[in-house]
Amino acid sequence: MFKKGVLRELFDSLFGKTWPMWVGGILLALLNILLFVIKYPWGASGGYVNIGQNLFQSLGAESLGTSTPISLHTVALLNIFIVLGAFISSLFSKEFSIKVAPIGELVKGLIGGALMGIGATIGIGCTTGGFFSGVPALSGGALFLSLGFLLGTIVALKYILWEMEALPNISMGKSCTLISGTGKKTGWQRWLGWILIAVVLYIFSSYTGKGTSLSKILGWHIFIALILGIILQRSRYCIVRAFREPFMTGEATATVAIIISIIVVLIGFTVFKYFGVGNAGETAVRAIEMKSVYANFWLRALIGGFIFGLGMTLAGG
Amino acid sequence: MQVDQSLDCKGLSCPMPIIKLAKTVKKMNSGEVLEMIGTDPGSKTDVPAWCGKTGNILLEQTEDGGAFKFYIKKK
Repeated sequence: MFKKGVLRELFDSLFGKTWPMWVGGILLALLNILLFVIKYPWGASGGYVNIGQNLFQSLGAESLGTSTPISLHTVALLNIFIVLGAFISSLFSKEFSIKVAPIGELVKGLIGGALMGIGATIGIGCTTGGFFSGVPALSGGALFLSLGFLLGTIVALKYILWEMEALPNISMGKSCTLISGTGKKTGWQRWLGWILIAVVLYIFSSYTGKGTSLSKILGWHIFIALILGIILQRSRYCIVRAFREPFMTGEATATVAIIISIIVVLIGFTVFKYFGVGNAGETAVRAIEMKSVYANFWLRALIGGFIFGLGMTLAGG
Repeated sequence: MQVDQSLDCKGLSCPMPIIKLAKTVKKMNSGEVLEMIGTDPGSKTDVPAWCGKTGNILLEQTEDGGAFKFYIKKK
């Protein structure tokens, strides 16, 4: 007979409690290596640039040139399905809730987000592509980008501490909870989660079913993004925390977790670059791409990283 | 339990709750108890970790309807 009890137990232990961050870090590291084997290492900001370009194009700003449609852009799809994966994961854990922060915090979030957008565009990279993938790929630009993140974080933390003394009203005020995660009527959350899983798997199969090499790559990006989103939500894997923690609480659990995952990615990327997988010609080209000096080296990366670091700490989350 | 001071962190997201907590506890006297309320799920692990690091005592931790409550006694 089908042992339903065992599966239920597995499901409950996966979605019942938070995973340690280092577990999430190692799983994310392995998937990042997989993404590199399939196409490119994991990135995020490039996808937002693509989504932004498509948005401007749909508004009639043709001067920016024609961009790849979102449905054919690997990184844009990763971003969308990671958010969907994390949403599904929060539904499965019955943690999904909608909270509205005090108005001052919302404004800070908006400013922080805008700084992140500007910083990622100037520095060509964010904490994902520029740090989590860039550092293990031993990109010179990524090292300067990371230094910029660190400096930006320190300055933004100093600002937050100053704000708390001088303008305490900013972080006070009305806040409300629209949908609460816990409580009695939460059964719908798991059902909605299963429906969304079915939708994502349908989209995955419709991509891979087309048979062209690109659609297969895109399809697998969607599938991996779903898993990335679930891991991110369950382990609360947060690179911002790793940068912030040592200067804030002196704690370093997040920092250590992120260093462990960076080491795993470093080993995986190095092995892949050294031996290559699949089509040897293409691998060689990609290995050169990963090693060469990128356009953001070194001042652009440092400035962009600093602006991004300011924004990510200010926005919080 | 006698609560000496209350701190409302509802709607705030990380790192604000921990920074506010650190600042409030700093101004309290030894042995006083702080009640902290927040909605950031990160606080669930952050507050106990902060207490462990700073030596303040986490007396109680509850969760109700998406809101977390912590009772912290100053060292």
